[in-house]
Amino acid sequence: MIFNSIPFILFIVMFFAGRKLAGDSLKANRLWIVLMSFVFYGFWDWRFLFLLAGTGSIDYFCGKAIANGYRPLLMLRISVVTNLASLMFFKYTLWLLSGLHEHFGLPSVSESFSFTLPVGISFYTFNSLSYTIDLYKGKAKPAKDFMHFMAFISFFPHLVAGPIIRARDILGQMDRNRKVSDLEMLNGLKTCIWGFFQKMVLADNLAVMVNQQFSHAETVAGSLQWWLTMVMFAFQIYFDFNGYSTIARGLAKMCGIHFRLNFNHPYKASSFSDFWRCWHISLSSFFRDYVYIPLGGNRRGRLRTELNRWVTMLLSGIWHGAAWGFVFWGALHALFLSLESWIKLKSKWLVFAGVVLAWVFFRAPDFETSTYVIGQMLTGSLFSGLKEMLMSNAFVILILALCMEYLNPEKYLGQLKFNVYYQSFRWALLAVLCVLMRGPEQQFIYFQF
Amino acid sequence: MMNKPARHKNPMQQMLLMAGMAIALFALIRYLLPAMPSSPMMRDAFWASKALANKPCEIVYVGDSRVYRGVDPLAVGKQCRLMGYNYGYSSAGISPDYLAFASEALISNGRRVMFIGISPNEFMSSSVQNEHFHSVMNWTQTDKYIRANWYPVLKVFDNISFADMFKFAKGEKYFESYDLQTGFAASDRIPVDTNSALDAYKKQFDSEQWSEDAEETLIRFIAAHKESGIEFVVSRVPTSPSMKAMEDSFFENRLKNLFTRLASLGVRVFEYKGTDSIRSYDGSHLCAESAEKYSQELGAFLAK
Repeated sequence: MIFNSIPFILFIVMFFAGRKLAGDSLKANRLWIVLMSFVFYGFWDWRFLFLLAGTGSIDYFCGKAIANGYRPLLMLRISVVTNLASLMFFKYTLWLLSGLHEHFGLPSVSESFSFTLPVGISFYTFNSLSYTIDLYKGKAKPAKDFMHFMAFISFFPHLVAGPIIRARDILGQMDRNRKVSDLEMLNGLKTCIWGFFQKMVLADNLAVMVNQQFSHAETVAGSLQWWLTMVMFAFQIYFDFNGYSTIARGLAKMCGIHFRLNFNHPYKASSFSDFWRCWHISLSSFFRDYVYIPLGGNRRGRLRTELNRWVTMLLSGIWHGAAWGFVFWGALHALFLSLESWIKLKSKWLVFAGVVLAWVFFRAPDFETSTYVIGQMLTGSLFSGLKEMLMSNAFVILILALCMEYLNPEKYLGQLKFNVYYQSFRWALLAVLCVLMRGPEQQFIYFQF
Repeated sequence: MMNKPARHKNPMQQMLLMAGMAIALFALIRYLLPAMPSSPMMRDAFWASKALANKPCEIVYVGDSRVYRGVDPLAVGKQCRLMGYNYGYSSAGISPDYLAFASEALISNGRRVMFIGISPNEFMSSSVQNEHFHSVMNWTQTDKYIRANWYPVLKVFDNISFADMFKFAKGEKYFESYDLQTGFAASDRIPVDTNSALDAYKKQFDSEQWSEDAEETLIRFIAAHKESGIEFVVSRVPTSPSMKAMEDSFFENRLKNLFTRLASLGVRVFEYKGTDSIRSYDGSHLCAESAEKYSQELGAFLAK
């Protein structure tokens, strides 16, 4: 079930009611978290509960062995291979087989050999990997028991679309059963409202125009029209994903668990490396800590640094999905980072333009459409088709999005912004706008990863 | 003594204050906003009801938006006493799964009729993919249930966009009244623009081909199901003169040939005589009043 749905509202009421009943018992609370998280995940497809439980169990027992010093390297390898194998099988098998058929003439993939990608597999496998890897490196403490570990892995706010959480950050928090204060509940609620606003009002309304443009891309011509479309997509994907992460943070806060920020105003970045410190922080830091740094980072000379950077960015691209568009998107960012390390030019506008151009490969359904759109952006007729876009609902939402991202009107309010009535009104208004100005329901973009 | 910032005082009271303000704000904004002529939640309820519809029918209506906006099963039924459901979908095309889905709703004995509204759009290569039909059918059962049963109750929470408000302020209104029981959507628009749909259809006809596979699918389907006693009726759902002329410029011979083949299979062809008096609000779809007249004539035809 998605966060902005009626079943989820019923689910969350049941969840908190159950927590109230579980009271001070740590074990009861963990059991309830696991049970309800399984209900949440099973709502998508109950068959994949077995995969979640299975890989989770393997990682728990491997972690136990590592912590007890029993063949730690072997146990780590088992954990890594199991997680990556399940991820690769479900995510990349068909793509690889199709590629082999197309380029090497191997037998084509039978239509009956198709399967659903388990929701959230890209996220929970990385969560799980962080546990065994950090245990091996001595950077994390083992889970107290199986329920403790499963509560970490399956905790529903982050289960299907992140943020990717580290065992060392969360296990400790789940090992204490302190009462969640009213202030934390209030702040969690406000965080959720802000997340819903980003997703339902900003992202979903922008999606309408973006989807419309891409549904018949080859008939849409105009340079500024496509730049505007891609800027809309840039903010759509930002608010969609940040919205989800923010809701996840809010829900976790209401459970007394603190998640780190996953986005930190990435479109204000003045360099590409700064952008990657602010965009999908949980993923980029995962790749930094578990791929880039182990490969040597920037400590083995210029050439090796470039290689490490490219490997990391290509893996980051391919993590998003089995399609060349994502690989190309990762490669483009690797190129930007490489050029930046040589040229040392810092410009917010250049970074934003580069990021927007790269998004074309991320969003377009195929390479042909990507090249068409890029061609239009760079050489198309300047004002063609712009008038209709400027009169659209999505354009008004884009202006609102830009104001929220770049301006800070509250700085002019002085002490008023601390007034309880103003604060209450502000959050009440956002909540009401979530209902009245919500866009047509769109799936969270990162569910497909 | 320094005052604490207000946000740290009484979080529970602040939550209650927020909730109270939200309810009051919602009621105020809803009161101030004009009633929109079309409800997005009712639209979702309409499609979900159609996907869940399982009441056995004596007559089913299939086709694209000209059918679900042009044929009122109640008006037809008053003339011929056949109880029916309109299974028209947006940009529907002739495909085996779509035809099978609609035919499965027919009762197992007695008089059974399948009405197929014919338009060139239904034979276009993109339409036979039946994207809208499949997207609705792919909603989860829970989603379908909630939309069909709860949305009509929750429509007070309908959303509204800046574009809707802007159009409303300019006097543009698109009326859609969704009948969940019959699958018919009575529609109209102010101001009427009988050319607004023309460009989109012309672009489609310029870029796509008539699907011979779809034509054969229809012929085979009818031939196979006539054996089981289903009576087939086809009609070119009326549209504006300019739209008809444009469609004929592309497909007149194709349509003539199709109707000849259908007639040779024993399919009854309903030719609407009141085309001079019909009104289309966008050049393609019938306004509610014209849809009623067409449906009444169709009902009289079926009663013979």
